[in-house]
Amino acid sequence: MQNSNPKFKNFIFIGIIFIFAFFSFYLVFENARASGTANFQIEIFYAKETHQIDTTQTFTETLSNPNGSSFDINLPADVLTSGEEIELTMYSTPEESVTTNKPLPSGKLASDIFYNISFTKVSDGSTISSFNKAVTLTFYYTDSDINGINESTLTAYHWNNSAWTALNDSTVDTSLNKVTATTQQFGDFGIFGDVSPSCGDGSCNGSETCSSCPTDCGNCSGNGGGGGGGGGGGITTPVTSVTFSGRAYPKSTISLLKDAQIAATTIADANANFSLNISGLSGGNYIFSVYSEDNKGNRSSLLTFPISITSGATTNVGGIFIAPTIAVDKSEVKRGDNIAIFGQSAPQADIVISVNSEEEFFGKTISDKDGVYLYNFDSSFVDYGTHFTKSKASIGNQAISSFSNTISFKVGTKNVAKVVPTKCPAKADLNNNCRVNLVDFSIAAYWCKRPLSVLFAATEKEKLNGDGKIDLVDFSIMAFYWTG
Amino acid sequence: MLREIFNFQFSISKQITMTKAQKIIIIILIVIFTPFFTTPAFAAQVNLDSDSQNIGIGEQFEVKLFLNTENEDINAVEGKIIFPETFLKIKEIRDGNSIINFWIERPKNQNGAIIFSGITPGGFNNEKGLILSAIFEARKEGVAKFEIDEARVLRNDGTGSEATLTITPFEVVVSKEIPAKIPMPPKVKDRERPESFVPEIAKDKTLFEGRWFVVFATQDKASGIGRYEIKETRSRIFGLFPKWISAESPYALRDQKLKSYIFVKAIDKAGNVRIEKILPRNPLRWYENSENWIIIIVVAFVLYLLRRVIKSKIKYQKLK
Repeated sequence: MQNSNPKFKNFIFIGIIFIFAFFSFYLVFENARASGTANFQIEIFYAKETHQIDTTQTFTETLSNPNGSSFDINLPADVLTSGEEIELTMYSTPEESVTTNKPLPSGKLASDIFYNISFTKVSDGSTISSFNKAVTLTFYYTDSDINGINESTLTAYHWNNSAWTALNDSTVDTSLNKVTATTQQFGDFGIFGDVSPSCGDGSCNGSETCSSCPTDCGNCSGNGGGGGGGGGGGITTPVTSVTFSGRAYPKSTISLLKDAQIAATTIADANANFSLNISGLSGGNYIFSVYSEDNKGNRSSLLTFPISITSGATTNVGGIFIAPTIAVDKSEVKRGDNIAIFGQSAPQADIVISVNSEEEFFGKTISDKDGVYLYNFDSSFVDYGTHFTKSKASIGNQAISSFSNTISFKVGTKNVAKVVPTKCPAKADLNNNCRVNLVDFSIAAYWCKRPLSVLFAATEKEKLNGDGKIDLVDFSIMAFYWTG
Repeated sequence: MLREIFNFQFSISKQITMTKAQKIIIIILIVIFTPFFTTPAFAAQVNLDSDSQNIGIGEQFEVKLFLNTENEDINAVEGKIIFPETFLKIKEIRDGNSIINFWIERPKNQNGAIIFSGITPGGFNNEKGLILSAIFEARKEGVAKFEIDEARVLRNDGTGSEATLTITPFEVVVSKEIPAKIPMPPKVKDRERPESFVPEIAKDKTLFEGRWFVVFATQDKASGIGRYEIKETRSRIFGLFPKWISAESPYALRDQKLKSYIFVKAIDKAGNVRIEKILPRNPLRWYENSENWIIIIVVAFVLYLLRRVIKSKIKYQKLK
């Protein structure tokens, strides 16, 4: 059945193109719409200062780091022709927090500490991108900061939004351990130099000798006498800390878990803002999690942050937006009736409610001044059966939370009020104390690879996956319901 | 899916004859748009990595096991790293900076395989999460192939569903002559104590026949936790003397009346120690504590001696 009508051929051809294009853009759009991206910023700094400056006068300020290095900034008078008052923010930060996204020029090594300078106008908060006069920057470094760098080649560099550029008038004073340069631009600064000869590089060069570097220069012949030991001095240990800030629910309790164990709690203010700080940490990788409880005692989902902590630095994790809580008023709704989907988030937040069935429905509402939101979902849109709902919040399209926990309801032939849920985790709370923590983990770990007792088999059936044994799946369920 | 689309396109072309240009355009469109039709088949990845894959005989090198979650929330991982013992000798296993918060099976070497199993409560979602690392010494010339066996990663979804997993093959070449000598794996300079922690006393009818037990866990970011020790004592002053007992969490308490101080010692692999104390839940009454009686007797004896001395002094002065 061959059809050679050219009109029909063109029709088929255009049809295929149209179908491809339609489905492709539909899928791309759906993916973009469905993906909830939770935003937060991580800032790591050793020291930070802000100052208001009268630009008609000269201004000098020093930023001191815990390891003894420092940074001076010197502004001449009338640095802005407008003579406006400005605010200076400057902070020092570890090398790795800058160079991850801003790679060093090839062949260069950087000092351990980088600096960031920014200026804003006090009048309207707008950022100042450059001055009319050059400001002088002085970088004081310690010997350990420049380990492996040829000191005499040290030069100040500035990140110009695409690459590191050397500041033209940069000079180094190796006797005073300082690099001086001037600039009219701001942003990130660092001091870079060439690689210095090092012990173990295979060649005996620089100041290497058989005694200082036998690997490269060979062993010294003969036996030398031993030297005497020197006295020790006192050292101050810099504080390693991390601060978390963001939004939860008004007057709600926020718990911070460090490596899954409760490390701190706080209460959010009336606008749902919170801040938590913990110190006494070591340098290394941590998994931090935060969750909150709403005014009805419902817990949010755990928001987890894998963070690499730099020893001696303060790490700021800002812009956290804890996902809303969610509940429904009926466990079963008569098809055609409304079901109330409600919970708590930040005040005046845009709440998107998703109802997942064969097709996903999205509804929108705004939380009130207490952060409480309510959405009446018309069940006539969905078929009979079990459906799932979840919500997420956003404020001004800037702060976006992740999705809440997912809860289910049934669309049937009658209305059944939802039993008020207990404040205890639905699963994994093996010792019935309304928490899922190390105690529950230890109980499960004890029974792992052991035949279960009759008593524990009943608990396993009720609180875990009920397969009559303890394995990774049970621990995964526990990790999901974890409260610390 | 691609095959179906081509079959579909092929069956159409059998029924209607199109121009060559039209066919080419359709094929180009299929190639461009097919990725949008297919569900993204992202799978979590577990892979091994090392600074060098060319090793000289006798040299030591570090192999790290990483998890790339490919945008999935993963909260549980287990598996077995099998290495050829003919070519390699394992020197050390490190779990100091791991993304795993609680080990179900702490990584250990078992006849040429490192077995591990653990969880990250709340889930982990990142491209490069260190699970563990191991230091090997090359002992014989040849290609040493590593395998990851029985590996599973589970989603943080409340049901423990298994995520699709891809494993990248890994091998190192051991030879007598190598182009450049690789530096020895850095020794972990660990001067810091393990992280502070809060041991907890609990009781559950399903465990230790309902007796009280203590649970504890901490981490050490540098060398990793080596072991735990525990000490129960009812004495405050003489509590120094009882011996530390090696322990694992959960630990059934000897003193079920909870009248003892409980000390839990975490020792990292570099020997740094952190001791946490739990105060007795039911402290001894003053007269139950033998220390108090000892103090009373000592004080009474001292007072008695003092009285004797004063008395003898007064007597002496009177005689004078």
